[in-house]
Amino acid sequence: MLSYLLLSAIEGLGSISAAIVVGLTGFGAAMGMGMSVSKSVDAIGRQPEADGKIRTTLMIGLAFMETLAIYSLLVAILIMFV
Amino acid sequence: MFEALSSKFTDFWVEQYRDAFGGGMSSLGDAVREAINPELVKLGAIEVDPAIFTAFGVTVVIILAALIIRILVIPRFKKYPRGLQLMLESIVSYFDKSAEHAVHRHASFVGPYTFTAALFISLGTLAELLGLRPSFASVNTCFAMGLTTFLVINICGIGEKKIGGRLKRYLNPIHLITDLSVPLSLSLRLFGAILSGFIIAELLYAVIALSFVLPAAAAVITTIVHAFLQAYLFATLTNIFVGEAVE
Repeated sequence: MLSYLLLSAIEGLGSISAAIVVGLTGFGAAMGMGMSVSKSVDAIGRQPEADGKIRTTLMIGLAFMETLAIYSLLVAILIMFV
Repeated sequence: MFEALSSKFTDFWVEQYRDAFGGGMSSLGDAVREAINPELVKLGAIEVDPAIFTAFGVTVVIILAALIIRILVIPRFKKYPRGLQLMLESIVSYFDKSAEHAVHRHASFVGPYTFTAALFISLGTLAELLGLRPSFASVNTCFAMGLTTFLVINICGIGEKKIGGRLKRYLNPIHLITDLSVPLSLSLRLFGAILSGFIIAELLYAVIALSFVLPAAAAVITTIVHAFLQAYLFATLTNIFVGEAVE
């Protein structure tokens, strides 16, 4: 009985850690995305003729952050199912 | 009466689905394990990952399409482009221009390379829509692409500055680490993004209640966006790194 309880508690820890992984990485990625988008909107407002370059750089930066978020998703899936 | 008929109808489709997609998938964990670690297939004497067949197929498709376009379409180009000619010219000139913007003198070498790499990455991932295993769900394919970019960076750097000038860069040893991490980060980014999309698609297929209409909508996020985004990112990063090496 005790070992069964212990085993189920360990499985629950896996779920909690998956949730923490996704939550923390999503928090960081969302902070970064918000900052970079607000700064780039500022920059486009100040210098509208440079919006092509700003948009390209913004897209590259956003893709980096999104990749980090995807890493955390992958790790969470691996914790949950494997 | 109606209830019995409808349950018979759903049972029939569940049975059909099990027959078509191998109903052996009993749990979600099995589906994910199958997606990460597929059964190896024999190719001649060695055992290989089934993703390699997708890569071969995509290579054949690209070569055939290039031959057909070269033989049938390009001789009929007109002065004022329309339709297919307009599409081809805009895609090719986009990659050429972004290479020229980043690497100046080596654009005639880097532009075609980034175009080919982006085409291979996007088609190799879009093959998932046909039910094949995407060729970038195997870490070996991704690492091959990363090493090819590493090779291109060094060829352009040595061609621009000769071997002495290239080695002088490593007097600051931090450059050694940043240069060696380039193929690793490129390949792992590709692998993580595409494998996670593939796993989510497999999870949807493994749950019978979710597997009828929803995958068509979810594939837009898990496959199509990832295919084009990662191809664009790979091409842009290659341009940036080569530009840094030749500058």
